[in-house]
Amino acid sequence: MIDAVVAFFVLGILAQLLGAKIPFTDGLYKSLSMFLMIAIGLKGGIALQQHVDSSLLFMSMAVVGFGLLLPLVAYPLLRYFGQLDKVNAGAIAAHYGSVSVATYAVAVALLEANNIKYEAYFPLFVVLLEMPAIVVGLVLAKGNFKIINRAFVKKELVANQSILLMVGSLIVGFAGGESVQKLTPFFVELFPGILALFLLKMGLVAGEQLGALKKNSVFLISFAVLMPMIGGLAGTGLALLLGFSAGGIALMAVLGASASYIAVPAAMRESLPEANAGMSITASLGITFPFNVLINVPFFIALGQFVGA
Amino acid sequence: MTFKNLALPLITSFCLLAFSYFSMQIGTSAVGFAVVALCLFVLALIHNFKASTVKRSTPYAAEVKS
Repeated sequence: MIDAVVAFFVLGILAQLLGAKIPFTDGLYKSLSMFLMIAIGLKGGIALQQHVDSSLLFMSMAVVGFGLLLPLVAYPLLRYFGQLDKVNAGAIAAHYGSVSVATYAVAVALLEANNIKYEAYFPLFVVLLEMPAIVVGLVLAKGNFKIINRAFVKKELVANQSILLMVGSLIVGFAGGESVQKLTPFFVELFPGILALFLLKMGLVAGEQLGALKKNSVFLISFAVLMPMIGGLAGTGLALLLGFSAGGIALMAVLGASASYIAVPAAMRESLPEANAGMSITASLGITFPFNVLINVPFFIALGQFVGA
Repeated sequence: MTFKNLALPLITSFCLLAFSYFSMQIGTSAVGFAVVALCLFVLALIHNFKASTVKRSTPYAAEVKS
């Protein structure tokens, strides 16, 4: 049986393919994504109150290393099999090294629906995985490190909306003590309903992107399906090495499998305007996101339970 | 279509089938992976066929024009 929250994503795709007009303003979409980032950060912060661990620093370094490695796997595939130029291969590799908060949110919702426990500090890993791939992607595209200057770090790291919201709410959740409980009816209990609404919109966008699959379609579909499987397996391996629980293994796999479609496209538009943005978005949002939500996430949750048992 | 173009769809289809088999082993649904593998394989074959037909017909078209 398909999960009720995920079913809204399918509904969105169907609505788009059938040509139904569902008015969904940009403001509402942005508000819903802000809600998800704050809710994920807060939940992580609340859970972190009981689980601060000295090994967290080592784990964080391993996760950053994982984020640096993923684009290095994607890049040769794009260059050799797709015969893409350095700029486009670097841009797409950055998308696949970074993470999708929505895919992570779906995995969290499914884990909680099935009462599977996971490590509290995962929102921190989501934040840590946002940036390294952007840096590696840009270096691969440009062939040098000149682009990584102070202005770039300030814009992409310090003033990055998703990093700021998630880290900020993680700190609020952690340091807020008992007072954070006042926020839980809104940010924790309404989480599945808001996620369902967000996924409806994502279904509409993904349905729209499916129509854009023309040039390079067979290669792009193959890459956008293969890369999440590689990333997911690599994430599973890393989680096993770090000794995570069944839920933690599933979440690490999902983070490895997911591809960014919010933070990275914005960074690429700014730093790599010559790259074909349509191709990256079609791959990450039109193919990888639906593939992950409908097939890969349930699989990696089952795999996490199997290997973590 | 060259070997390079056809190789990735075939590798991906094979990996999807492997995931499908593994899904059955761990007791979860294998249908999704199998359906995607089949669709991708068929799509690659159609694309390959179309590409080879276009290549063959081009010189003829050019000949007719001249």
